[in-house]
Amino acid sequence: MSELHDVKFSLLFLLPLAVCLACGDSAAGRGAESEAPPISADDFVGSAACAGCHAEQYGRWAESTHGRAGGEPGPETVIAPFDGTPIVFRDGTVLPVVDSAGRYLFVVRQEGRPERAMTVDGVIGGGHMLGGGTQGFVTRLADGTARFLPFDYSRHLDAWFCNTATRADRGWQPVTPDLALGDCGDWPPVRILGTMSRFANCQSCHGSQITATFEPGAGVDTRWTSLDINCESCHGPARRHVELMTSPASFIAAADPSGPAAPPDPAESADPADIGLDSRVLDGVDKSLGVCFRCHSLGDVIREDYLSGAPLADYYALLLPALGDEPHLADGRVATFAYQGSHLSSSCYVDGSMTCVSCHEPHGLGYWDVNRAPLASETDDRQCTSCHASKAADPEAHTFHPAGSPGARCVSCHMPYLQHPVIGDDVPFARSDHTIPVPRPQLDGRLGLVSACRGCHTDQSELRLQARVDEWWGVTKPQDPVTAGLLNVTDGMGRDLAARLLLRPGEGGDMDQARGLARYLMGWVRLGEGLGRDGAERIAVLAESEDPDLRAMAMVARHVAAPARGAASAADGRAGPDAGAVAAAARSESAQVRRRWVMLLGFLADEARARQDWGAATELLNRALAIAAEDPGVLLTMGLVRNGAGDPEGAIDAFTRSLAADPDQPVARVNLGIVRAAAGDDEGAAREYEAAIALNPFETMAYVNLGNLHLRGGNTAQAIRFYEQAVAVGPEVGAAHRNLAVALGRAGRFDDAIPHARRAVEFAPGDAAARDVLRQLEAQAGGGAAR
Amino acid sequence: MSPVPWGKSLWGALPLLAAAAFGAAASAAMRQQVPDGAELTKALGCGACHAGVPEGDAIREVAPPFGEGMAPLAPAYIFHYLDDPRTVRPEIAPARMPRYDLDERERVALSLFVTNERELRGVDDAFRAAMARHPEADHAEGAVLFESLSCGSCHLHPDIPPRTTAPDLGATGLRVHGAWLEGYLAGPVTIRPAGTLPGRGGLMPDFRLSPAEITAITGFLLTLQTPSPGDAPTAAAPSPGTPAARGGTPGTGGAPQPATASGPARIPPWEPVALSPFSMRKAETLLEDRWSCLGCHQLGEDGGRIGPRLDGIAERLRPEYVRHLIAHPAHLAPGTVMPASLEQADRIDLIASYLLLRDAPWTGSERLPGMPALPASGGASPADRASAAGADPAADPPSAAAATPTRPTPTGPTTPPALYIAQCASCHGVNGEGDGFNAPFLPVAPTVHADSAAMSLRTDDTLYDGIHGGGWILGKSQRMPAFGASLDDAQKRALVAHIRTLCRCLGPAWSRDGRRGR
Repeated sequence: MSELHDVKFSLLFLLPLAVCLACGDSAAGRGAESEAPPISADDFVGSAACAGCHAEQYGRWAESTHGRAGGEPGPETVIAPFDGTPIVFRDGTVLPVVDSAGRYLFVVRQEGRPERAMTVDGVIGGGHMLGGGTQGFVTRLADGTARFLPFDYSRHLDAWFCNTATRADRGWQPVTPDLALGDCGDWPPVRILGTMSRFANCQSCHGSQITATFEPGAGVDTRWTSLDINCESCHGPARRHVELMTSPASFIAAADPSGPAAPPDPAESADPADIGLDSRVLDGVDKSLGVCFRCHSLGDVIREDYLSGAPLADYYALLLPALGDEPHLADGRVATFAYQGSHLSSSCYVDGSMTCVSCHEPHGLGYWDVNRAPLASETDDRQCTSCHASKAADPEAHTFHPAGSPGARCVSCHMPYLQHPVIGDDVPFARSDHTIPVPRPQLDGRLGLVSACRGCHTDQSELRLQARVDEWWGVTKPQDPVTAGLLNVTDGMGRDLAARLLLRPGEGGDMDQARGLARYLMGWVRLGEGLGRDGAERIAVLAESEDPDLRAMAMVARHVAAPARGAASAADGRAGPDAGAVAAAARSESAQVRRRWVMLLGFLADEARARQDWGAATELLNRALAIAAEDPGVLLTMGLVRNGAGDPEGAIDAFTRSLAADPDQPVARVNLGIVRAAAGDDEGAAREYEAAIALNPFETMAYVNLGNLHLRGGNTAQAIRFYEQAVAVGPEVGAAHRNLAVALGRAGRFDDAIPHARRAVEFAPGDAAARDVLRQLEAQAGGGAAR
Repeated sequence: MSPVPWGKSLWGALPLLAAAAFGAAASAAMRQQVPDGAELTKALGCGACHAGVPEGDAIREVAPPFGEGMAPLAPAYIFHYLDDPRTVRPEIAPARMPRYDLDERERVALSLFVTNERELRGVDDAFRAAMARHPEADHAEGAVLFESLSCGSCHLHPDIPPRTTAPDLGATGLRVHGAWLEGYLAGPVTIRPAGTLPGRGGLMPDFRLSPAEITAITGFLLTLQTPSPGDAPTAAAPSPGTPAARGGTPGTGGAPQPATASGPARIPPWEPVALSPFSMRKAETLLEDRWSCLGCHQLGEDGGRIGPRLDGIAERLRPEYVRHLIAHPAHLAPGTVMPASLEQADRIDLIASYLLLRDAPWTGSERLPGMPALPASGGASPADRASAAGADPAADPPSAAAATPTRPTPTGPTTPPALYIAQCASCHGVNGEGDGFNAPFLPVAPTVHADSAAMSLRTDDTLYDGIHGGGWILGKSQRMPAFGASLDDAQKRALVAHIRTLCRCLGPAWSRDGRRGR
């Protein structure tokens, strides 16, 4: 048993790759993209500093959902019942209580395990959202992270629930006696506050100025200004503003000539209109949207530790999520879980100038019309008719519903609340559809959505509803060309036809273009095989896009399809630049585009690695290295690929180069150690693991692999000690529990081993080896008992 | 357009050379009197072009009508006279023919038109040389000039009705500063590059007033604080969805009360708010990126040429007038094409304050060449042209049989073409070719409404919404203003319908609702 598992362990512990490509602790993650001055946590002053001068705005904010979005636990922030009423799981009970010191705690009791009290260090959310408001909680761990607890509360259900993603995979589930604690993906806590790509589902928007920074030798330094969404989340750092405005030389002081004269303040600016703050009122449409989309949109992390006020595109790529997970449907609506970024697919944005603040008053988060006239509620038609005045003159002629009825409201048909699919239907979490679509009952049904019509007319079929729509409104407004293409394209379709359907430069918005381009890139672009006539022409236009995401995707399509350096021509016989020439063109691209370019090639390499197409993965990574030489993230991935390809020397070379480029990579150390161990260099491997632990005392995998070395060497007792350290710093890591169970089993401590084997199965339900270990341990224990 | 013998010449053949002495004597005599401002205004015929002051009948009694009164004169006489009319007919003082700042070509064209070009009698070398330099200046061009300069307001013409194309003076006391007015009367310069009715021309001439006359007229005009009621062409019931219809008034902050039969207009007091340098920049950004002001008004080197330039308006206009004009132009400037702002009071305060506090001297504008926008023929029907000029289209058109033309009833255009010409043609062109006189001054070319291919892709509702909410909401040029609070639903639909006639196209089929479309 042990031999078999020893081998498997090493392979299983090779860490995922795409995560690391976006790691902020890689060398490629450093250095400013833009010329904007760097922003640090010290530049922020907190909302209270704003209240004195901006009392009216502050007052509205303080009562807003942003102002009440979370904070320290207390009666003002906590809506969930911390009254000791047990939350009953199948395999345990959790008591939410407030102790005598006023601390909010979750006391976890599971049979056969010691009671565990987890302190609530932060409250996330206030259950405000109309379509389903929730509240979550974070606790600080010894490694410096602040992690989400699996005990969430739904105000609409008045019930506790947890997210079963990565475990039971049934979306959000209310806690019932049928649900196991281990069904919850956050048990033990995994997700952290802040953005660190090695932790799944990073959260940096549930608070203000949240940063989680790896500190070599210490762990993670997690900081936040507050857990509400404060003034500086939108306005950027305000320290300089406060200094300028309180300077004796400021125009405020100048307005009071009776005040004392003072020498010029060092904070004084040469520009008299400089207020030391990036004013939102000067924003154009896209910049204004970016302020909100930093949180209210999906985005791929380009660099970590974003602080408001920094150029968003340096840190996030809002269009790249279209590649891979396909979080949006063909027409841009939410397919999995997303936010309001789908607004970029709305005609109101693409064909108009609509921003978030066209309807949402930004301080109090109430509603107003496009001319900023206050509105009473989110259903007030004037949100829409202040632009679509043509519909207001004779509303019933357009709505075909009695005036004043719910069906006559603009938002009833055009912004229905849609339950986000990945959540499931058991916990309300519906969000208003910000693609602002035209009701298309049949298409909606085909896409798996409840159409706006069917939301009310539940007794009618989509066919019948569509017939009524056709009768009332005649021919329905055509979809934008990319959406139409996405709805019509099929796998296996010819390359040129697919290009014509999916690549429609100049037609529709950038987000639409990104969906089409992503589909084309994944379905029809093959390494070194050229793009074909239509694809090449259209990609060439898209490669000139101003948007860095679109531009990079197009560049990558061209780069992937290009023949290898020196090859005569592409496989389709069409002449074109080889990969070297395409890579050379990257030199004239901005840092933003180059970074995305490399990241996308890494993503495609990872896809190839998943297919065990080692050759393609290696070539894609080599092409990435031609853009970003010695990029530690790319080299880390290369190490994984070469190891997968049965090339340990190549893997060692790649990991070593990665560490040369950025020595502060505990994960790379662990992987290098694993490959050395596989090559028989246990001593060298141990050195790498120890170096990883020196970098990060909480590096679970280093302890696990040290345990593996000792277990393989026959030193079970030492192995157990390392495994126990592993489960102490990484209690959520199923493999650590599994290996500890194996070692304990070898030591004959079956009663100690079985709980860890169970946790291994619980925390890694897909791990067949863990189940095998548990079965064998139970058999052994049963046999022992029989003896 | 032939001269019609509908009145005896009042002018006759005046001895040109003898006039100088008489003119000088008359001026000397006038300076010795203390003129009455009201009487002087009446005698000068201000009311022939301006509303809000006594009508221009007095001047029409002394100004020779078009026809026999002018035709007997030699074109060369008119050519020289237009350049310097002050020496003629001192006996009509204090009335006088003012001096227009016309260039040589314009004088040639007008000369040929008013003398009916029967024969070039008495042509002197100067006139002959001028004609040689401007061979294209002809009778037709002169006709356009005659109309656009409102010559017919004093010199009655059988086919070209008098026009009150100049600003309503009834609210002068609410509007301008006295010091500025005195300076302006001493040396009038162009305020609206293409006339008060955009593209329709008009020009404040120089009456060469004496200081005493200026003082008297200024004093009188400043007592006028009542805009003419009923002049507003857009004083219609607000359409649903407009702020007024929903009980709120954009830019309220003490709305001015329009003049009524029972009393004059009242403007609430208002002073510019102090603006920080940042607030000034904020206002500049709004003007540049969001508001439509610079579509019509010039500010610095940027902006359109429809309205007065905005530089230094603090010198010219009273602050409360500026503030409330932005929110309620039709209340204070009846007949204006300026739409009411849909913005909120704080931003109107900001923009008004910025314009008033901005450090720039007041200057006039350059008069645009090539006006008016109306074609000599085609494009608009005579009724529409009359309507655009302020005439009631429902009334019988002037005819040869008509008696002395009367002062037009100052109602706004109601027929679609006239409405289009009044509100849209300055930028989009009379025929929707995107070639209005203001088009060259816009950063984004106006939509060509005559472009069938492009316009067939736009829905009627999009056109309506653009008229209502302006270009910004459509993601197009923010310099296209929002007429939402100034035009009613019927007017917006009429404009959409007219645009459809210009493009000879319909909107996309999908935009025509099923049941409604049948």
